[in-house]
Amino acid sequence: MSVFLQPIYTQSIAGGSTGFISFNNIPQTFTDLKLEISGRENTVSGQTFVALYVRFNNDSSSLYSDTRLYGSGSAASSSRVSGTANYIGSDPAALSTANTFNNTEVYIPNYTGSNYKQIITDSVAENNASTVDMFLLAGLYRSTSAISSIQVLPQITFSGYTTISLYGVLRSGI
Amino acid sequence: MSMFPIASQLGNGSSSDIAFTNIPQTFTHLQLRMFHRSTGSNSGAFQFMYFNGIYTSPYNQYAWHRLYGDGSSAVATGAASTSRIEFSYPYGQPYSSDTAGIFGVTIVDILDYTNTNKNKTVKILNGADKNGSGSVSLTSGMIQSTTAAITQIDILDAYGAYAIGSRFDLYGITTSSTTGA
Repeated sequence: MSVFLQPIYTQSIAGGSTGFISFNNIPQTFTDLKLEISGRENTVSGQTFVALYVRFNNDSSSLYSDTRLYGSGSAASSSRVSGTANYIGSDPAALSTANTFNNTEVYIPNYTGSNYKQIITDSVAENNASTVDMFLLAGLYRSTSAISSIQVLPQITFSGYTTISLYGVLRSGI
Repeated sequence: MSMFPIASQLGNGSSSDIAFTNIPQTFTHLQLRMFHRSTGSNSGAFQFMYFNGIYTSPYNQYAWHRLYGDGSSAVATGAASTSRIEFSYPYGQPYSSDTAGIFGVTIVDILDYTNTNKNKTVKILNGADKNGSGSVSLTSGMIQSTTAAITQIDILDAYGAYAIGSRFDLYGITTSSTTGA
């Protein structure tokens, strides 16, 4: 019997801060991948939330686009953007409630396939105030290459106790 | 294997509170999967969630925010410094006047629930289509008064009891620092 959800690797920041977090040499034996992120960032400019991105295979070319459904706590909106990484939500920063981390899941189906890579993300950055950042996101990476590495990119730097886990998901019959 | 069943509870038609107590502290994340319907008579049969039995004075220890669609519009709303986390509003939990056999679905993710350096946050996906009405929502919530590990989760039907057929399943999810473990 195959294992449905299998942990591949977890990275935690014990203290201090760090730039991007990379998962390299991802096994090519699963059907899908899933990232679970509990993150927060340091800022020097006094922001409440800062952006969080994911990039694949260290590819920083302009092959990424996103469709967003966003809630701010008082208004809902939808938009589309494109760039050099997929946007996957927000991290709490200096002006958000202390000790509070985002709660984000990124699902990456068919990551070894030869089609373009479509990802789906749900992300919430809670705050004990009127303003939050909540997203449902569909992201496209226009590459036919299998995904062998993932870079999770903060806007500034990740703060201590940020934890990112990568899982492999297996379909039936494997 | 990384996802383990911890406990399961059923609605009995008379109790409005589902409590998971003595949650093992050996996992990294928790996931709660709910299939639920209310016996209440209020169409906005939303629910509450709170942790470690903390629903106490001064009733300001939580925050929540919601993004939802009801089939005709998208709305964002929320509350800070409030008594509990509210979810499944407006129509994400069928109630007594809805067609029999229709239940709502909710998936709750609680990350790093034993980490005492973090306020605990939850992400709640909820929805119910009732063949002509219903809603789907994404809710975030947090307890902001303590960074204590979560040992208990209470789910509360705001206007009635959980109908027979309702089910609440709590899972623990492990992680690994070694490839393939």
